[in-house]
Amino acid sequence: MSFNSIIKNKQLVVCCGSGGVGKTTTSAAIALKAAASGKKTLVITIDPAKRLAQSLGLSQLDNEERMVPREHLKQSGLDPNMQLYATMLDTAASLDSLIKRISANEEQARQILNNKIYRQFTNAIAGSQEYVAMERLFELMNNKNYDLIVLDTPPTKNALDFLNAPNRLASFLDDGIVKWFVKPQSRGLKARLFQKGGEVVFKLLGLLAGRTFVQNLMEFFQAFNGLYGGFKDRAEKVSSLLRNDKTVFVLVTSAERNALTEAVFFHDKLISNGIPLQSVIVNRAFSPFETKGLDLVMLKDLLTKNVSKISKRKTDEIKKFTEKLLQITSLTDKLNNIAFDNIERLKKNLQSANQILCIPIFAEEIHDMNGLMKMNRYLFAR
Amino acid sequence: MSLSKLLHKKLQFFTGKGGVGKSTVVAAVAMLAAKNGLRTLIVEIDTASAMKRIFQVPFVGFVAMEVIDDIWVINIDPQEALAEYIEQNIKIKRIAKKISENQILQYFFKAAPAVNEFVAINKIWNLFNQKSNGIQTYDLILVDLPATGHAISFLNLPGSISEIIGTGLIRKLIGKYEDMLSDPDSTALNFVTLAEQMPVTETIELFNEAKKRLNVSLGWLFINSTQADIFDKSETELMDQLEKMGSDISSLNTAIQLGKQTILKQNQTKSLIKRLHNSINMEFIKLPKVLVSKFDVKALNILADAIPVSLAKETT
Repeated sequence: MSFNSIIKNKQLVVCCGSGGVGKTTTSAAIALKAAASGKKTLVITIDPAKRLAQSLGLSQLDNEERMVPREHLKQSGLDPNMQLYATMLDTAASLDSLIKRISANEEQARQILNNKIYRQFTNAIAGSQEYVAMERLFELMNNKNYDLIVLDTPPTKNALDFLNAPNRLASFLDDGIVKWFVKPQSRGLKARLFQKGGEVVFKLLGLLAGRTFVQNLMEFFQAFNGLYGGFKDRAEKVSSLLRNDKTVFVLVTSAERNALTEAVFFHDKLISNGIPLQSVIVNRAFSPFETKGLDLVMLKDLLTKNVSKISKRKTDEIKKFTEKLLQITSLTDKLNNIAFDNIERLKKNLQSANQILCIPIFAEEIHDMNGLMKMNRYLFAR
Repeated sequence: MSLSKLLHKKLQFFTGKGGVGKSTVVAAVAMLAAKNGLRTLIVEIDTASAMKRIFQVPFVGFVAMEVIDDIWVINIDPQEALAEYIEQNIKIKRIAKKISENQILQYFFKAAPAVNEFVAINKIWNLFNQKSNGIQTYDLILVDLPATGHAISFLNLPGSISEIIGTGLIRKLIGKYEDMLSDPDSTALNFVTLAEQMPVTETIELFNEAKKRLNVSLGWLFINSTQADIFDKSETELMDQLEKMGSDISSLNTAIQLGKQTILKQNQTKSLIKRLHNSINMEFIKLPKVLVSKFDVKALNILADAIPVSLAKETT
């Protein structure tokens, strides 16, 4: 599916891939094009990517959805009336607001937010960052404020953790385990402690972590009592949202060998999770200058002749300069060939037929609207 | 002098933004150390092992394996680290067994916050103190940490845990871990970056964050894959003249454009390194771009050899 039809027909674009391959930039470029084509678009990023904020003309990126200023669009020669928004995920803030939302009452929310375990480990709770990403996404999709949302996924340690994040967090707060730790309606904690079986677990845990910890932990679970249903319900909805036909997954990679190996892994993982992949973007694939079929001998003559024409330098200086240029040129050719081979291998290794789009290496890192538009010339080429 | 300083700190953590070549740099430092006769251990933490690929070995697991002379590699699997932790700390076998077999506890450990990281630090502590025949098993331990954000919370873990834990076994252990991590003589946190906008910005942020929040001394900043200064000032002018002259021969234009691109890149590299110097008070190690189709041990050696060269330049 071409990117033109993706931004026309879909409501959610999920960009995934390993770190450092230009995922955030790619997400921003897609969002810019969508907004320019008249869609009200939001790009959600994970990194506190200052450069991205700058390139969009935003002084900061945070949990708020911020509109790209008209003035900035105008300066870049773009339609100032387009509706392009950006937001960054702040895990801690989002989780706090989620807790407030799904708590039965203020007291319960306060108890959780003040719990020492919660406070220390908001970021460490298994998969919480990924979970919050999904949660926030769901909320934004549900509000139906945007025609299109582009999600830049977190660079997770375990690729695609975010797919299972809702389930993982739900299972941490699983009814079974929560019920186990918290008092049932009729019985107090102490009663629970002295119950057969219970005693053992608490004792063992106390041995490992100390009694204070066990106390904190019980309070933590107690505070979460009853929230499990809410989490689980959300998890299922997020899961179906990701598999919805208005959602599209895009895999971003670079042409570097390791990145491509990871890309194949990502691809397989997506497929095995029942998520069809529509497109693979290979960033920094080739030099934009054609080196195919270069005749280096001829080039050497040409260079020497032209340089001598404009410069009164000594012959050996000219020779040195020419040699350097030749070296760079032949090296570029070699690298282009390596990239070409790597991408061919990628094609063979992908189980499903995908369009593979190659974006060339730009001389300058993309850091402004013009850079994003430059990228879009390749992404949205007809 | 500075090379021996680099190799002197026994426990070194490495972190950096994804895609900057962190694992490659870790492997290069290991090569350099091994060449200097140090028994070096590379520690990975629950990842698809990068060392497996770099050293071309079929498997990297929880038991240290020698991949090349004097370089061992281990990948800390949280399950195994937890088992080791329980076995080691619960002296009564019967209770240890009970913990390992208790389903609720196992379930809890799997999902609970920070358990994985905690047992990983425990494993690192074990490796740090491991002895064979009365002498230290490893002279140097290089830990390939997960990407930026996680690194700080990982190294901060003992502190975070001590806030929620009273007395008990873990309390005692935390003290030991903190001693190990905060000893500037033995431990350092290194950064790996590229001379590119985003990684540089993130590295500066990381540096400030680490200064503020960590009780771990900062070691070296590795700038990977730097563009060498190929063209000097007069050659830059010559390139401009060539471009102005113009040509309808495409190969000539390609060569000139590639030359201009190289100049742009070398200027960028210089100004970004300057920005790093202005913001980060650490020793820098510049590594060259190594262009190969396959990154093998030979390529690794080129990087390893560049480390002392860069250190010598920086100090003069």
